[in-house]
Amino acid sequence: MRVQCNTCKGEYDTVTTDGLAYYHVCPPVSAVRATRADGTRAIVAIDKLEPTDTIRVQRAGKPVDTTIADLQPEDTRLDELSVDRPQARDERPYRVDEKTIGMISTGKGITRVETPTDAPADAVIL
Amino acid sequence: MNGSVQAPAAAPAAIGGAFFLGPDTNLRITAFNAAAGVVLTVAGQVQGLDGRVYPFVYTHTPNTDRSVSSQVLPMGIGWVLNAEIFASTGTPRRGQCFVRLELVQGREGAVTSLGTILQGYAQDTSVLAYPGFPLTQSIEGHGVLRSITGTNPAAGVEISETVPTNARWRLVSIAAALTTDGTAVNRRPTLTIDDGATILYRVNSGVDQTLSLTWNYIGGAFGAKWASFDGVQGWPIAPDLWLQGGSRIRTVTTAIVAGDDWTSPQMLVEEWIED
Repeated sequence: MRVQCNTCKGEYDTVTTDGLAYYHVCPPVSAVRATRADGTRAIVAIDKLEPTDTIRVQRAGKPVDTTIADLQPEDTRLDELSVDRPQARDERPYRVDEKTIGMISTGKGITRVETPTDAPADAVIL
Repeated sequence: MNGSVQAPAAAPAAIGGAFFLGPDTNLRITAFNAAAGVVLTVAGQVQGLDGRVYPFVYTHTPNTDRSVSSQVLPMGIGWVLNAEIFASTGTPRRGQCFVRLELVQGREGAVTSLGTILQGYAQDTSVLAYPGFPLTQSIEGHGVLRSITGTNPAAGVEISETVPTNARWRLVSIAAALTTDGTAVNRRPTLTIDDGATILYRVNSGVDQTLSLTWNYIGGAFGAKWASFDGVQGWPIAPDLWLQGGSRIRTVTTAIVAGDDWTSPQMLVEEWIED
């Protein structure tokens, strides 16, 4: 069964091609230390960065503070972080008691993904 | 000794010899299994004090998430002449269904192990047999080769695959592709291995990926990096990269932006039940 994780939005099959269970664990969030437009310092997820946020990059071998809007192609972002994802789903089995096995964390749950149906029976392979 | 029985001197010599079943002494099978649809058969023969030989056959259905399952197999008094374990249903490969057969005191509640008769991987194609087979550890010899498709991350999210609980992996290879959006910054994808928290190994491709490109990344025991070739980048990894349950195989992409998109990773791993 193909599903989407409601926490990280990743898609996966619950059973691998060799018939074994697949245990999804949400990846960390990619983030960067930034100074917001109002001067506050924060750790900001990369999809939440604003053009006016200032981050530290390596430019021509030297650390430089620049806004997201002024990033140059050769800049290497410094102060990048991987932080634990809030409400991460972790499907690895967890023994609740002698007879019950649950998962470490259900996160925000999953949603079944409709997969394209196979070609109709009268389809011609050219 | 409480509960002990003196084996009669006239009892015929047993082939197996060492394993005597007294009152309240039984066999116990313990299994750690990952394969679906497995049923194990435990069979053998016991020579009673009357000199007659009694066969026994039991089945045990193990869990499929590598967690432990066990079952006490009631036995009569006598000598264990021989025993064997095999997968009578399902097709577990070496590395997927690790079993142990013990002589135990008791049947319910507190059960004490008195000795180990068999220990190794159960399969459908071969049999674990006593006497004759050595007791082996779960990480001895080769494991099962698995081709695993990981999670396809959402845009702007890194690849991260976690070794299942009670599994041990040796990462043989990994392949994935990164499509960059139109943001004009250089991305540098790094294959990163950690123990769930602390980074143990990391290697980047050595060539930065610019905007609006799709490049393939392949990790394997190449020994060295190479310059970009037709958009294929290499991540050299250690040839024996052994990973315990909870370890992670992931990417850390310098300057990744919200519109960048990794595909599902395709991994070839050798897998064992953790020791």
